[in-house]
Amino acid sequence: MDWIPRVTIFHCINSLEDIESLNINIDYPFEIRSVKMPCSGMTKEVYLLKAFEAGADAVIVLMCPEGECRFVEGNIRARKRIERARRLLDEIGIQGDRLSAVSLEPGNEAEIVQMILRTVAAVRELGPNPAADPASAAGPITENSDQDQHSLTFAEKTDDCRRAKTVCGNQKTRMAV
Amino acid sequence: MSAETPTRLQRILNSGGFAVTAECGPPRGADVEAIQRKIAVLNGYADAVNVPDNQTAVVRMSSMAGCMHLLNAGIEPVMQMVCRDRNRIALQSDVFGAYSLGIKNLLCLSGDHQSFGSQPDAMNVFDIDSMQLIRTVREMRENGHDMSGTRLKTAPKMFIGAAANPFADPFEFRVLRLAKKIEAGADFIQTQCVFNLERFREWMQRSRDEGLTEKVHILAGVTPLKSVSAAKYMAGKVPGMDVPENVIQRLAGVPAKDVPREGIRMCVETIAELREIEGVHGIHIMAIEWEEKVGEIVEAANLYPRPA
Amino acid sequence: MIVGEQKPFAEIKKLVWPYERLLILGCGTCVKTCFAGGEDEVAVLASAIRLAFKKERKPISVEELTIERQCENGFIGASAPSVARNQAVLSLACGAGVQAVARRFANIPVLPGVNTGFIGVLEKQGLFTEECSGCGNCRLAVFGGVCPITRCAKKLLNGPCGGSRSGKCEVNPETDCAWQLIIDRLTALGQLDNLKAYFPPTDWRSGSARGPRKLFREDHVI
Repeated sequence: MDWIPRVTIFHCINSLEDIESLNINIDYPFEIRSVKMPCSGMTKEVYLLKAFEAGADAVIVLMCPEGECRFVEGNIRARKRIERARRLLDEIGIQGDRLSAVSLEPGNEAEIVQMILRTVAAVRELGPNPAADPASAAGPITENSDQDQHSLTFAEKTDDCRRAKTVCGNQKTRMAV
Repeated sequence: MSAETPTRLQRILNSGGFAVTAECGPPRGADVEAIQRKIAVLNGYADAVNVPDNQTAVVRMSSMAGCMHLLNAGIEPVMQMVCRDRNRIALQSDVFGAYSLGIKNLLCLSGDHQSFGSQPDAMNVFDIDSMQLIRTVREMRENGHDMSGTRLKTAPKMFIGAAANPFADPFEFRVLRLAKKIEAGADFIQTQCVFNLERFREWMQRSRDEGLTEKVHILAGVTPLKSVSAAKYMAGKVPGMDVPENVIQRLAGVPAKDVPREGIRMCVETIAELREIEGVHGIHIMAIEWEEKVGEIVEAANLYPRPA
Repeated sequence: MIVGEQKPFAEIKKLVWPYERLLILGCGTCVKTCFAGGEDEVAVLASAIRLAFKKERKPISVEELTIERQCENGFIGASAPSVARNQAVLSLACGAGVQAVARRFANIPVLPGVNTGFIGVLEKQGLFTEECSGCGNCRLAVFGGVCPITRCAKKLLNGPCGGSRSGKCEVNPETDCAWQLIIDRLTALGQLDNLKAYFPPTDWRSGSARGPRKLFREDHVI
């Protein structure tokens, strides 16, 4: 399989502190990079679109469940902006379904992992981002980004994921900057 | 309330008689036969017949043309003019034209908004409102000049009507609005059709309290209901209508084939009640797309034959 | 302020499709306030256009610039270097701003990205309502601060029509009947008698019926 799905996850640090802590057992390689936010209310349409410009095939925004936002309304605003961005993506011709808003109980890392894997499975059905450069590895999120970035390519993190190395023997993926 | 030669409607009202007017809905298109058929069934049953002006903003044969067809059949017309479609130039021009043709009763209205009709995409006009139109037509009659102040060689002297809706909100303001219309020059009023007698009586009481019934002739509107769905439609979809639930229930309570007859019966009963109300000087029968029943209603209400 | 809405993306894409170097010019006043064309909206639109072109493998470079106001030449001048670098300008200003920019930079297509709507206010969060039609002869004092020309669908001056129901307009049940508002407001002010007077026909010459208007303040010109 030539194409390695690329997922960008925006997460508020209250819903998930760091994706490093996630233990992902995967059947196939994918790349994931994360963007931390102090609150999901920091989500802006422009960042979501830029994630797709940078080559993401799917974008997840992980937030606290409704009623549990530490800053009260952040997750409500986030959902509205994400919905708007989804519609805009549809109009652009990049399926809005590539962008999802997810809320899970904080601390439940197993569930977060399952959600990520489901997203990867779903994006494999959709195919690569039609606006991404074909057959290229991920580049940095644009220079304009003013947010934390942290990138992880599971296929190479063999310490964390033995299965990945077993399944994906080739070196097509590379660690992103 | 004066004119050179009073119209028949004016004569009947001014002499203390109980007037009957009816409505003749013009066709969509130029179908002369359609309007002539309606005119034929109305003939003899009303003192004057109104032709609405693109009612509910649906494009129909013009009121002036409809009135000409009535005149040709020997029936006295009441032309209607709304402010929605024409500016003061066109409105005044039509008053001149109508009067020159022998149309001498004029009902002045604001008009239903174009969004209800067949051309919601049209620009509306509303250059002047119905109050200003009434005043303008009165100025022509009383002082012989048009809106620009120009003296007219032959000034139209219309018998001026206005509409009133006792069922619209705000209720407290409706009587004030009636007073303003009378002051502006209204000689007669035709009200929205009455189904809610209680509310109508209250409006009439307040009007009497203000002395308005001595200054203007009020003709109460009535409409026979053809079906339960027609009743529901009027209750829900027509602006300014008040159709109480018990009216709908009464219709729904009879077998389907008897509903039209029940509707007519209710209309005749309403007329009888209205005749008892002090200050009501006539009725205005709006049998929408059911003009053929006007005769039956007028006879059943003991209002036939009409005075000469 | 002037309230407008950004055009649907499909329409904007069609307008800018012929170009390879595009400047999106935002405006920091009215359209920023109604979320149609401020710098945030410029950024989102720029990204969306790049994605749309990339998807079709069509080259585009999009420059983003937002100036204070596009209705004043003094501010427009600052965008000259950016305009010079590009083949077309997509202006997110109101119709007035688009035209001012087009006049200043007459040799480059200046395209509108916003549908300009009305003069209005921010009634509450997210809700903008039309308040003024610029009739040129303000009589809000008489009507208790509610404009019957703008807020009554029939521009009635002598009271409500028969379609007013429960304080709502016959045209749209979500729209308040302006006359209900006027009556309520004047009642609260103890000025309901204002409405006993007959209001004569409006002289529309002070409004837009006479063609595009001008205001010349000679005292400000030396």
